[in-house]
Amino acid sequence: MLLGLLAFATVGLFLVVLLVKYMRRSKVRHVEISALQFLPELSEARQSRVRWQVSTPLRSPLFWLRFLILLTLLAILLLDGVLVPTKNAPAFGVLVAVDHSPSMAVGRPTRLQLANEMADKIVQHVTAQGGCSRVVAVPHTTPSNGVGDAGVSPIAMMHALSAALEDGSCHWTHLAVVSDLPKPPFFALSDARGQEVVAEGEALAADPLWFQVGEPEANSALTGADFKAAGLGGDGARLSLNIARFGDANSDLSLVVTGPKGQILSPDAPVDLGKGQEASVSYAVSEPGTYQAELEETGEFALDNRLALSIGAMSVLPIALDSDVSAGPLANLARQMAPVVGAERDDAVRIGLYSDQDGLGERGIYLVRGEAQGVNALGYFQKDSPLLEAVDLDLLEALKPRGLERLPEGFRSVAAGADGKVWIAVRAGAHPAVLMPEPAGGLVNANLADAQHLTWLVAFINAYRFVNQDRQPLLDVSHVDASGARLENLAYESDTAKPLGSNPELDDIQPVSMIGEAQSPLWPWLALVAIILLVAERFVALRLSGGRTA
Amino acid sequence: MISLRPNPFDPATLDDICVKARKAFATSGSGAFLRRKLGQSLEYREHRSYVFGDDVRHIDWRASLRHGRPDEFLVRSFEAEEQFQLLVIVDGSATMRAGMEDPHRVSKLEAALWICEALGHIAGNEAIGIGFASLGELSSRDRVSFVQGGQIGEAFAHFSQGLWSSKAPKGREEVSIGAELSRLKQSSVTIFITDFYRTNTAQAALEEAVQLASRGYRQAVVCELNSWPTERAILRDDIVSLGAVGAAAERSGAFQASGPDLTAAEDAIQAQRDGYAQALNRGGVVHFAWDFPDRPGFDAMAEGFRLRFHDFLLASELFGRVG
Repeated sequence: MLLGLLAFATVGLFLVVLLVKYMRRSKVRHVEISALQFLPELSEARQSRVRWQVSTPLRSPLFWLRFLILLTLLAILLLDGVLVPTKNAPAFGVLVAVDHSPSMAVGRPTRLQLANEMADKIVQHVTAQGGCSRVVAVPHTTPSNGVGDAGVSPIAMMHALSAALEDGSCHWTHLAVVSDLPKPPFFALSDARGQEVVAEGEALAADPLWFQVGEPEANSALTGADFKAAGLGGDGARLSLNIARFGDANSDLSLVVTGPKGQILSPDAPVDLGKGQEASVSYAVSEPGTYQAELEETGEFALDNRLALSIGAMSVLPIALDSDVSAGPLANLARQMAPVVGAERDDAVRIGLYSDQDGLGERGIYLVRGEAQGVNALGYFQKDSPLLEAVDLDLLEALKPRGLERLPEGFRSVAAGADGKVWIAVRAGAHPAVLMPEPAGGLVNANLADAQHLTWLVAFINAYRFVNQDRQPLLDVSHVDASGARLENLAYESDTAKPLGSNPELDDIQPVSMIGEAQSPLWPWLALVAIILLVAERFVALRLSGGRTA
Repeated sequence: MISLRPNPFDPATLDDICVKARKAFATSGSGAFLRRKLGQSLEYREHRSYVFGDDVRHIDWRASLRHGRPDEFLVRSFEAEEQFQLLVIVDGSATMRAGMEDPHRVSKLEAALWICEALGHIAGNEAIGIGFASLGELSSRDRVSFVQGGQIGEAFAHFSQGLWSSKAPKGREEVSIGAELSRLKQSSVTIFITDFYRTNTAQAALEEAVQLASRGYRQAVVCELNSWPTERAILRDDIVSLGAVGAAAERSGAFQASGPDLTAAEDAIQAQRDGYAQALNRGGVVHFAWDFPDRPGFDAMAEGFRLRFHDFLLASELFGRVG
């Protein structure tokens, strides 16, 4: 810093000195006077007679050259640290990504064949321009069928392209995608391959050259399902299948749904599948298990015609309240969480007061009544227990819960006081249960809306989740093939009727001058300018010194 | 060397100046460019006293008797008139060339060539013959060729190019007049464009040439280019080192002319000019002093040239004799 200031001051001083010197300079003019023979001996010029002249430096090329040299030196000091982007030579590298997703098998010739022809044209054009190219299949194909096993989204394409971008054999300047999908509005590159590749590929992926192939083809697909669990009022469970139709309506549709035991289900109401772009068919179901739905159509793309529907339970677990807690704020909370039924239901979650070991046989949450008196608030917590997730342990201590003298059979402690008494305990297995303290103020008088009860509420909800965690999900839906194998990412494949957009002209793909990421400092260029100016100054000075100026 | 710069006059301005010059003379109009010579035509000119050698057949007895002097006879003289021819002689000596290398000055040689070009334009318009020559090239072997009309431009270009690109002879060049000036017609007008810085034999040779050019009915116009005002301004304002001019040696160093220095130089120059003026003060010789402006620079010189050329035309009596 000090050196920089010193250099700056030195150059500035030289600048001032130069200016003063030229302004006070007595310019000796070399002239020819025709009356020379009549001139007497002239007086020698005296320095004191030299006057300040602004015009003298302005007229002198030497002054300007020296002034520019000093200015350049000043600029070097001022612009130290300034970087300029380096410009590389024009480059031309085209990475051609050909979509090998299942929908590319549609059509005669297939869309994949059309895509390959387009890729060949691009490669020929690039080669003729002296560039390099590489054709990449996305997703990677298996030798057996030529197309990928699963569908692919535009974003998933970039996952595959990330690997290709790491290929250092060519400097990629263009990304061309040949697909049956239209160009998406946003095309992001995955960072799965590392930040460096993402940074390089983002510029390409920001505006890829998108070639769409394949004429629109009509297709119908099973796009998903909904499940409505059995209601408390006795209404049965319902399974609804969603059918989407793309392109021209295809009247030859039939839907067959089979139950877990192979029985064919009948829809609740007859539905005309030949009408409309979307349809929903509802079936009554009565038992959990795996259902199969198969759509029969005349279209070519059949991967999206088969669904496997796994129903875990026909209804949610209700709550059964003991008589001690059937009224008051806890009962109101329970009714918001699940249906409240009588204690006779086997699949209910029982909520009641802890009395003794014998009353803990059922699935449920058992509350230990009353506050501890004179106990040490210091607690020991099992920190990885889901029961304590998001629970403020300090506030739990402040509740001074009353602990059990001993751990009930089959339970393990989650939180306990310093005196060894159990505050919270859980039991896993077929009949999961939780022991926990009642809210402060008692079951009847506790105001659960109060902020101080938040810790207890969190623990209670955690307890309800714990005793329900062995329940299967109500519905799981997936596309499957004929053998029952699961198929992923078919959502982008079903719509084979998308209209063709306009493709870029091949002649528009030209080499580009890339502005590289690398940056070089500016000062060497300024130093070069200063050297050139110095050479010019020497040249002019030598010429003038041999000529007119003294 | 810088090239010869264009004449400050455009042709239209030059024509305008000619018209104004004609109007300045009472005898302007047709015949302005005629010059008289003694001849044997029937054109009566005047009565004059008889001198020995006059043809006695031309004595006008009746007029002599009316004149009333028995010892003095009057003779009738006759004359002829013819279109004069113009010879422009430019001094190409070293003092005329001083300052040629300086783009900010106009040398006397450059100004002289501007005058030649302007005179050539006038001669072309008036259909009179004009010839160009430099003092050095007039030798006994050379003949000055007079041209008219469209040939004038070509002749001037050849002349100016040769004079501009040539170098002044070392030392004091002599004037080789030869017999060329003697062969000039009686009706000829010779314009000398020079400075008065020639000395000794060169000065005598120039004076002899002027005398030859003004012999008889011939007319000589000496246009003296006086560059001292410009050079004095340079010496007064600038610190200078002085380059060699002709026989005068270089004075290298840094000089600043003082007032007394300039006064002394001016006195010496004036004495030189007075000597010339006295020598040329004779019949048939017109002396015109063309003073350069008192500030250097092309623009000042060009502006002064436009003003002074008009005066020069009047003084040279090309459009008629004064009085």
